[in-house]
Amino acid sequence: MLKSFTLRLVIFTLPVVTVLGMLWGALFVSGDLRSPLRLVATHLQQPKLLYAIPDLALLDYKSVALPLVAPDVVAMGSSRVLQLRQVMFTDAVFYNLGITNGNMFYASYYVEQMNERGDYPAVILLGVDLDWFHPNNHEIFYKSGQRIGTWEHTLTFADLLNQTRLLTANLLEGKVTYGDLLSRDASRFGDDYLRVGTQTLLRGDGFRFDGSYYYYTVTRSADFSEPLYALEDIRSSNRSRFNPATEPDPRALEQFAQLVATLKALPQVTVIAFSPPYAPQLYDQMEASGEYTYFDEVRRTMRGYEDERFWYFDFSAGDFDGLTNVHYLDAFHGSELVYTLMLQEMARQVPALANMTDVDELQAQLDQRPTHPYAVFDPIPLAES
Amino acid sequence: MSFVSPLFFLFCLAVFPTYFMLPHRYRWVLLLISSIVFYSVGNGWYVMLLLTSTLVDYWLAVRIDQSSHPSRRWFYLAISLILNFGVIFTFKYLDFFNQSLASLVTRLGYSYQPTYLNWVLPVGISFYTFQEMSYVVDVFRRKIPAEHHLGRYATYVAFFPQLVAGPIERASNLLPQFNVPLAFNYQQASTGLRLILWGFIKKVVIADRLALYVNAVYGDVNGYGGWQMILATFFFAFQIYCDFSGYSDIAIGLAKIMGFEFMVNFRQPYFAHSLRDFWRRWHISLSTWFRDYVYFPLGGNRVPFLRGMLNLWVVFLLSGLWHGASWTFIIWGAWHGFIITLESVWTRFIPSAKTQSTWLVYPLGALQVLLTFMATLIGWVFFRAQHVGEAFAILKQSLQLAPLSLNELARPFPADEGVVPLLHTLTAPFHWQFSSTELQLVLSFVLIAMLLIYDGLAEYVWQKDGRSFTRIPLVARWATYYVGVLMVLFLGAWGNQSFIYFQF
Repeated sequence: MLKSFTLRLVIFTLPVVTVLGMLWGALFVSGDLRSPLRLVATHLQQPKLLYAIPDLALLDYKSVALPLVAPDVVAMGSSRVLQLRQVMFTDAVFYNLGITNGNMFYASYYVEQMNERGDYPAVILLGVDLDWFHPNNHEIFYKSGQRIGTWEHTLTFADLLNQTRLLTANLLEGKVTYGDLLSRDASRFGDDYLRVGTQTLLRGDGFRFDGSYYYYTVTRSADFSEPLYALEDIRSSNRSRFNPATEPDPRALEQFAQLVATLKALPQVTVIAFSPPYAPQLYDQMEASGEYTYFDEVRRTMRGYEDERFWYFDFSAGDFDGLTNVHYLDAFHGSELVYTLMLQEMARQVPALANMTDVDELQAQLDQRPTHPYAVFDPIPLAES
Repeated sequence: MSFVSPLFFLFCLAVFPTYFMLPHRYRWVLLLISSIVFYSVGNGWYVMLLLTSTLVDYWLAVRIDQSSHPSRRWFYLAISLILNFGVIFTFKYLDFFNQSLASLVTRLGYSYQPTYLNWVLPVGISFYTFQEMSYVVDVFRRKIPAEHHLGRYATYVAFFPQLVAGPIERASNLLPQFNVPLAFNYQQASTGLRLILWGFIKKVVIADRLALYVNAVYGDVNGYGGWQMILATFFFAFQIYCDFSGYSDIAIGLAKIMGFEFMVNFRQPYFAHSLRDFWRRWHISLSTWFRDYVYFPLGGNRVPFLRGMLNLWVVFLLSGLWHGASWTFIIWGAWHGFIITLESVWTRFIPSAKTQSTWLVYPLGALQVLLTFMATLIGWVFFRAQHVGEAFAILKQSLQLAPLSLNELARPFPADEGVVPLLHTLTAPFHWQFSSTELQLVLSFVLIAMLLIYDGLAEYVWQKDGRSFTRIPLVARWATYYVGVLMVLFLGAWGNQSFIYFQF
């Protein structure tokens, strides 16, 4: 009776185990299950590699990479700073610590790590999203901040199942074939990057060796006509970022004050804080609505911290140097062009940053840049034609 | 160790085959060792507390059993009760007691600054201590003889399926099962596996999915409006039911595979016609414990009406306190006591309007079920809130209702939850224009409907004609099992391995 039961159980589980085995096999081969340490090692050896791993492992990846890269300049912040790249820094080693949904707690985490090692960059570029100070967001950021440090350098079972679901969805929709995953064939993207992780193999997007992010899909399908944004639509689809408010959250201001105090205590480090830009037409609508007055208080607070080692730049209006909506990846993510112009402006004013990059060289790159609305540097896969 | 962890899966792969390979006389050794290993993972040295408590109660029960002198028997019983209650009081209630006392003294204008222990509550302490106390009392009452085999007694207390969150098994039911050779039973094992699968669906697919909404709203009370509060409380009612009864189903299922029979712990509680009926269906092992060891000794309902009501209130206040050292739980217990008092007064003083017309029976019955459910909802607000003030704020906010879009109602769900891409894929053929959060809201309602249909069948169909799941054709049965397994793997909100009742 026991044998018959066991036999039936094995027969029942066989299809489930087979399906899971195939999915997990694909995840393994395509690189999703690699540990951050192994990924970093691979990446440092092969700069022409893009990767996309589950979000939760991203913080681990970057914290592992930071001491190995030992950069002179680091960028911190949310996904909005991810277009800052090594190629923009002619005279220094750069690393981008920006992560999706990053906030001041993440920045504090990286600063703590620097303090523990006693190893500091000369310049920190700190992208300060104005919505970090919205009263609705502090609780969410605080909770996500509580999880920092509890993450392990391995994938959890929940992460594995999330990746499995994502992979299943993509396979069911025919966005990728099982064969492509097993062969890790990325030739269809038309560039010479290797790709690690199912999401990279699927969409072409991924993190570069310097921690910056390459939006292959958006870049390739860039609309050369001026996109228009309606504030109401953007608000409903991305409420946490575009919620109106009259006053910033005092808890967030207090938290940021602590971060600034920690940053100012770092030995011989120049901190350049900046508010990342919104697409100009959208920003104009926010200003015209009169419902985002908390921005002004945040800017005033930032300027209050300014001294020779703490600088603040406000790029939030997004229309500097003749930029328009067309130069933005979406409503609140500037392109490589936008960030090159921002870097140039900051380097002109901050001597510490001027030592790390050549403003004239940046200008030369800008002068001879491709006709693509986002592109400044190679490699940019232009339109199919 | 949590049931919903890969580690527990490996644990079962090691324990079950070994269990069936061993002769009966050695099985208790395996079960005891595996139970200690099960408890030690994540609880460290608290396993020593469990073993010490087991040893002390074992010895005291034997002394009670061997003694014929009433005063000595009372003496040993008193020691057992003092020690068991002392342990629970120290770990669970001392800080709360001190805090409440300090608050009271401060209000009276004096100063009292107690030293707080801030000890971590040992997982399952309320469950295994209550199980041990029931054993000692039953031996004292000579309902059962004392177990003289220490190993078997320790296995009874620490038996891993029910150690950390029940059911609180009576010695009269479970202990004898360790003494008889339990042969493998095909039917019992397959029923066990079915229960485990259903338990996983309840816990991982339903409870943990609803928890995403509930935790967001109850974690940011000022950030949400009345409809969201009501929905969060509605979801919490099903979250806690699925979380706890899911655990019980897995526990009962695991035991069944090894040939053991546990008591039923939940019986479709949201189909109850009154709150009194609710307590015959919810956490039955605890409610019968309080009935047998508190309510009956106090006189039960065989006393004057007012005294009977007082007995009820004592039971419900203790039951509230059992769940946690907080005024919210005490008020939760008092709320249940209050409603049951109203029910008792109603049935005693209002003559029952017996109607001859049968067509009224069903709508009236449905109305009773609905009213009972609403009464439990109010109670759950106190159960879930962090403190009493927050509970009242939630109740007040729940009355302030303004028109709300579906998107706004669904806002508390995290937009980037792992299941979202798959939901978009699965619903693509229907061309729904739902956002990520709206899809999760729809999924939650579908899951609750599925649960209610299952419970409805169990309540009204399966019980009456005796049909069981095994009479369904094999192909349909296996197809259902596959759907269940795929639901657990692909629709489950994995990431939260803890059960709500672990904290009690």
